[in-house]
Amino acid sequence: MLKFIVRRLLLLIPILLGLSLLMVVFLHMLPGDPCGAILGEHSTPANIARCQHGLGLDKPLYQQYLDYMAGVIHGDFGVSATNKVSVTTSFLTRFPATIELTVAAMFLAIGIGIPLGVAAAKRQYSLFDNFATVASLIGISIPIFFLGLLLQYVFGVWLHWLPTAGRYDLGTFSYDHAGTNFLLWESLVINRNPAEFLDVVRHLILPAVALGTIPLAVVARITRSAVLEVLSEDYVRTARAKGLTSKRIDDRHVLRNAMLPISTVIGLQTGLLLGGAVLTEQIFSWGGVGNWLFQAAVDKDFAVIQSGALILASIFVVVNLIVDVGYAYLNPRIRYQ
Amino acid sequence: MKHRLRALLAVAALVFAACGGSTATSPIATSATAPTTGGTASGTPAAASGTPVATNGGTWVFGSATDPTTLDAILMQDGESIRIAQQIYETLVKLAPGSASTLVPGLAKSWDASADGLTYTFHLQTGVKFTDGTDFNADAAVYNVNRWKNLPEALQGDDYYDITVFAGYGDSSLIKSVTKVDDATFQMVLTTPKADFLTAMTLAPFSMQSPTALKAHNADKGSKDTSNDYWQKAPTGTGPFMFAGDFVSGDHYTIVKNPNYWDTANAAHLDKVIFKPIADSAQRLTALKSGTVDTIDFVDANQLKDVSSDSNLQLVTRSPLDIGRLNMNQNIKPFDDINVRKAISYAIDRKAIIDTFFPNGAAQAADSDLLPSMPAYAANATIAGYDQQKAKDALAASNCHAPCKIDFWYPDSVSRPYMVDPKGEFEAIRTMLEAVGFQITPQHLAWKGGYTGAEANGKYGLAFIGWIYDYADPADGPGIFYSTSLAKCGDVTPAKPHNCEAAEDNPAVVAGMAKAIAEPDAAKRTQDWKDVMALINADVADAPLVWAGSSLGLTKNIHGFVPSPTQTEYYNAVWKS
Amino acid sequence: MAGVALSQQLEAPIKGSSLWRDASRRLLRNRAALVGMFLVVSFIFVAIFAPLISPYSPVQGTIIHRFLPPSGSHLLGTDLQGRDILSRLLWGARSSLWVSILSVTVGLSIGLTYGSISGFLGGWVDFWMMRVVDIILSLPGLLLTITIVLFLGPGLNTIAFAIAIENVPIFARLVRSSILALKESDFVLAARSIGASDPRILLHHILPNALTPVIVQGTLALATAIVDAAGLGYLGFGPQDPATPEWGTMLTDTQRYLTSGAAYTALFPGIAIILAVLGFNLLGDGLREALDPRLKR
Repeated sequence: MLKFIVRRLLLLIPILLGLSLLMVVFLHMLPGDPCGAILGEHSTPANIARCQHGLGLDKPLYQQYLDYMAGVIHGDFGVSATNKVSVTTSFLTRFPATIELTVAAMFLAIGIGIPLGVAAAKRQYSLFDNFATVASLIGISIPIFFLGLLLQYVFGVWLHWLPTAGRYDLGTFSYDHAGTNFLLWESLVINRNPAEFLDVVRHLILPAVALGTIPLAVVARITRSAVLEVLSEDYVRTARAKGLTSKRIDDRHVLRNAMLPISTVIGLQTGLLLGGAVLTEQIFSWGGVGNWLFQAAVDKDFAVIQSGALILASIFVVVNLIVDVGYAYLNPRIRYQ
Repeated sequence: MKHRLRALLAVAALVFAACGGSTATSPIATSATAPTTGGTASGTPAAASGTPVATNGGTWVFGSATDPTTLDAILMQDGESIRIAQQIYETLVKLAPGSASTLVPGLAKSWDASADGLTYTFHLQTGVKFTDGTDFNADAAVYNVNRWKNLPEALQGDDYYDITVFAGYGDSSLIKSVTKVDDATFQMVLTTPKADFLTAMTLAPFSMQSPTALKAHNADKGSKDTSNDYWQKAPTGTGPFMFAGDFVSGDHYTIVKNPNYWDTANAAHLDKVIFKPIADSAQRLTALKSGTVDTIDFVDANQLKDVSSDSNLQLVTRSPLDIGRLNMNQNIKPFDDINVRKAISYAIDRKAIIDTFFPNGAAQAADSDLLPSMPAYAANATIAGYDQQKAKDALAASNCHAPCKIDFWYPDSVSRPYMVDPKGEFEAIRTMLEAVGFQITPQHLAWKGGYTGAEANGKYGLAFIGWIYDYADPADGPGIFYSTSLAKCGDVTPAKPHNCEAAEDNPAVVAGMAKAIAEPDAAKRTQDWKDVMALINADVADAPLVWAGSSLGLTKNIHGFVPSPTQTEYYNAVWKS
Repeated sequence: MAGVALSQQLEAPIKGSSLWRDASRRLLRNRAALVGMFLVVSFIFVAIFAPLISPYSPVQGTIIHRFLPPSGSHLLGTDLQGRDILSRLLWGARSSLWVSILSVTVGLSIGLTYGSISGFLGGWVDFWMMRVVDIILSLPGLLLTITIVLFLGPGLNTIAFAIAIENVPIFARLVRSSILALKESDFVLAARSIGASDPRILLHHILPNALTPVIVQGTLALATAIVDAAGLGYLGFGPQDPATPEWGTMLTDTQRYLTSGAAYTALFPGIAIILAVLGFNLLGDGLREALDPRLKR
């Protein structure tokens, strides 16, 4: 087991090296540079030249890459060209926002999707089942931004029920800016203020619904089919024949056996959420990583895109490793290659 | 399983109860956190008594467009950074609230200029302290001016205003010397007279910052050096507000009242101002309407009615100080032919553009790069009349006959006051140009993704662009975009000074502009600029389109906001009822 | 003699018509799939015959006639540039169909080739080929797409290509894992035992069987491509010529004019996107159930 983990972690090195090389070459072949974003209307040939020199963009590409990698090895992921904030600082303040949003979306997806799928499977072909099937298909088919805008207009502008931007009521509450920036945690555990926690939850609802709808629909569908599959297996029939009540069968046998495909899908969807978070964070002015990297891509903020991609890729690999180890633990039939 | 479900239901009920609570038009926030700290009116809303009396206290949530990008004043270039800097820093000379040209005392209570226009003596306010507790005096002022003159090389790449106003660093700077006379007086000597010097000194980048804080936070180290954390951790000035450490990138930037502000009569009413970045203008309006923010800037022209018709909101409009225009590069065929340039200018129905994209009086049709509020402006100086026949005639007289194929560039992912919907405006103008015999190939690139750079480097024949004046002077406008230089243009280093953007190299224009900028006498200067603009307009160097104002939407409980055409707006006068 | 009989028996479920006949029979009995098929067929019909059925040109108009409300002459009204919205919706189906088909074709052919080589060769080639896939998968999909579009410049083909790149690793993994499973399956072992060559085994035995999940995934990817293209349109990455009708761009272009009389203009393209995507999703689902009857319950 340990050998397996170490080997997988060692694999990170070639992956990250390949990725960084790819990113640097690719990004520098893009037209434009951060100076266009910095200068705007003030772009004149002289100003552009001075700006490029200041950012070291007039050095040869290999030199820029070596300088950059030298920094990375020392843990310095560079400084944003547009606001001079170190990439590490920005990442650490923004990542909690993205995690909170992603977790909330997955919470919705799992909390509603699994019961919905189980209920639909148990009443297969009933009106409820058909309704759930159609609803989840429509859920998968709505573009995130369309849903997000719709939610904003209905619940924010028309009904005035929920806020449409940001993570908490800036006018009422304040948080320790040196804190974790996990606001659910900060409000409930550190500040112990239920009103504050409620406020954070209210800000989370719309973006989480926008982001969580697709995974919710996917989880509901896979749960339905996984439960149906298990229900038809011999051991369930045996359990029934043994005279177990159907509730006991559900708890003991069905859900546990259906969980393997469901958890695979949950893992996959969580990975995909980061892509969806770009749009959701954009619409709800959510100060997360997706928003930040999108802006960096538009601004051609090289250091931010490169380092952001490296950090995200590392997290992805490590999370995948944890998931794999978890699977192996749950399901001893899986062998390590 | 069951008790868990009940807990879930309870949480859901709580959440929606909270939702119900906020349906009320005024956010709960106000009543909860608006203690009346001052000796003025009590909790009763001022409006009720008839005469509005400013209430102290409260938090103002301001929906801006983006985060600040730096608050080391001299390195600032963008409006969102300057917006905040104007509250935490002060300049020696200020613009009167709402004015684009009237000078009033700032940190200097008075100043004298020598007859030759070279020596300026500033008499400083006394008893002023920076928010880190250190004194603002002649030493601090001299330190700041010296920093502008000798800006460290590592910072020069981030500089714009300093180099634009003072033309260089060290010995090539327009600042010849700066000396302390006594604790409350210092002198600046220029190498050549500069007529707009005092006006330029009102620009926020020329704010006074605490030398102690600058040194302690390594502000002179290059921006790539992470030990330079001055703007993120400790931007320190003398203003009515100050930074207290609360900046969460992408989420908000907070400034709080400076309790020891020197000008007690003008101390801030508000306890806190929070800037919440919301990039998209439609999203900003949504946030204002849903009560998420109290104020938004840059309301889209097409959404002005949504604000003015809402009984909870008020609209505040800045008069225009910008120009949206089509740049035509005479180095690229067929725009070398003046008849082609004429045809384009005649073909555009500016009124239809304004009715569609700038309704409700958001803009006026432009007939010059200068604004009517400038003395050097001359009406109808260039082609601005819509005349399809004249356009067709001009095209027929040119050497590019219909269908005259041209590339037409517009920027993506941007909205500026003078260009709210670039793609929509492009499509409208394209139809107009095609109606007179042009055949357009659409070309576009993200504004920040290289568009502005390529446009400035003269790579586009016909392109959408514009200018926002920092102050009402032709030198800050045509004086910049028709300027000539020896800097590399595109990939070519010119043999003699060359106007890269438009290739407006008419020798008479080049000479006239140099003369106008150096002329110390205001009346003569105005005449010089009139002559230069007449030459430029005769060349049909560009097609001016619109002068557009910009607007803010505020909830009705915000008072005392004075809009300024240069966006020099002071928030110490703002209060919340 | 015995060998021939065995081989015929082996190939029966692969090449024989009964699998496809069964599948199509099952598909036609599935009501949801029929609705999906109807939506998809109408979508393709509209895309192909847009020039014949559109009442107006989708590109001609003037801002003087902007935002005319729906009426007899303009059934769905006009847009900002005074163009007929119905005609633009019908022509917009072309853009969506083009982007989705191009992206899936390109993504599928690269992914299929890549995955088959990787899975069939196995060993360290497979190992490193999959690490490259890991690199691509480790980047958030939309960010990768945006970066590629920024790199290649705007345009429908660029958008399709960017979405295709996002699809490659998914197809590659899918094909590889089915191949790995099939390599060990009884009928392949049997085919090998009767002396079939490697390429023959790959082309005649493994690939056709590996294709079932690919067909299903391909149909679903058509749906995703439409959504992704619309999302890119929202972020400001549309067709090279802004006059080209594209649903995502049509939806978001009018966002700022919603209250200047354009409320409905955003709704129609939104509904069109949802219907087209729903169609492909329903059809994909039906195909999955039809091709893998064990799922049908």
